[in-house]
Amino acid sequence: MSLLGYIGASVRARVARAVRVTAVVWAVLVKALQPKTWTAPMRNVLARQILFTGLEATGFVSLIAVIVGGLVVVQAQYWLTRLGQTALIGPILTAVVLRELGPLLTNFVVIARSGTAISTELANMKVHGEVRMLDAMGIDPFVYLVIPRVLGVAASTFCLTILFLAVTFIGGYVCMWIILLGDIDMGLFFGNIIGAVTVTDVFSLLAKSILPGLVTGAICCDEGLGVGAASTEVPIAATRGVMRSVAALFVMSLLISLMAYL
Amino acid sequence: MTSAFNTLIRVLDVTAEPGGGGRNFSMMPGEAVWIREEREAGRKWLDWVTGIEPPPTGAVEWKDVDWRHRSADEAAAQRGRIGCVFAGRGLLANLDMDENVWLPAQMHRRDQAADDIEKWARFFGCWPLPQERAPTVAEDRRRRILWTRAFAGRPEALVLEWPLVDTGADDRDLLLRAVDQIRNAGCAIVWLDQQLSDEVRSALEPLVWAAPLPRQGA
Repeated sequence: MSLLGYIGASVRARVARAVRVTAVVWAVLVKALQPKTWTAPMRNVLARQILFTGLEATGFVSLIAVIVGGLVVVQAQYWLTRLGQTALIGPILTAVVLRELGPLLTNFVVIARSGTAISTELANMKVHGEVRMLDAMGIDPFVYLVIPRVLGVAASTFCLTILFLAVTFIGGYVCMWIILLGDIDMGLFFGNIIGAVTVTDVFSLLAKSILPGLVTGAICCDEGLGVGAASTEVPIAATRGVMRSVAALFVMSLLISLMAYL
Repeated sequence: MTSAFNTLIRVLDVTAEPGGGGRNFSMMPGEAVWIREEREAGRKWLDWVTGIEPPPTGAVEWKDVDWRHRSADEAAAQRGRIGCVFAGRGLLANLDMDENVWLPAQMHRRDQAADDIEKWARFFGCWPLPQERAPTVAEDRRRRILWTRAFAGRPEALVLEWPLVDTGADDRDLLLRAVDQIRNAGCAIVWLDQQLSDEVRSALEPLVWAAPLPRQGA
């Protein structure tokens, strides 16, 4: 195959995958609006997914957020002091953390923890005939397995992103307080941050925390359920799910930023 | 009793082996059939009878309609009327045993399933249903819970996939008594195994004839 042919085939395969994932997300949203989808076992799976992806990740996300808050504040304080623009620390925190780092790092944590878990679990279920079993009992695997996982990941990612931002700003304030030996006005610090938030930031934050969550869930479910009968396919599906989710996360973050701020 | 359909299950010229003879048979409620299925050949007939896979040749109809002509939602709803005993593990590993038994009833919103589940769990000696994950439960207990799930919910047909593999005489007799009981209630039985022992054959008599017909010119 020529180089051009190879590139063409590769692009076509990626576009086809993107269309497929979009279709999965769309089907999840459409089905989720139908009351008959919300059976007790499905709600149970959703609750378990939120518990695992959201609640159990709060500690780790908070730790990362504190560290990021400290790092950003230290760097901002260092450079802004040299430039004599310390009042810009609020807007810089907003621009760096709220617009980009917060959603990106939270999604990373979710992909690393839950993306691998979803792909592995579903791939194992497929290999061991559990998906076939559900099908034979008239239980739609899409309704019982895919919808609660996709919705659970999206809802958890959104909540974790809010938590991440809150902890980062509080961590940043504490760090500033230590650097300036208590010579900092809390109202002014948080007022600066809140004052720098625009309506576009809010919509951008919503898009960057919910959309990648939906897509991560869809990709990992798709990879997990796409395995054949061999157990050797399970780790391959998990790796592929994570890699594709990370790639989709970066592409979506870039597109949303371009649409929101250019 | 009058039915809204002419046949419950109808198999039309379905061939399991390439070049083999096609099977043709029809079943009404309460009838039983044995289909010879080689264990090494993989699981095929349960998939075909429940319509989750189309057979390579011919067709399988459920209540006079080819599975392929039903919408996905309608097919899933109809499959909910079929109880299945699966070969192998047969239970979801990430659910407790009681959740496994309740799963089809809850997904199909059968609100009156509780009595039936308790009845069959008591019959198979596994009441109260254990709240443990499937891998931690002993094999014979797991098998009885699998049977409970298949028999509960008043299925119109029951597909048993190699149900007596590694089963002792007590469990075999228990299963055959259960089959007899549910069959008298109008449930059709599809028994998949590579051979039929005399005990099983006499328990399932009269059997619908399901031997493959020789191909013309063969």
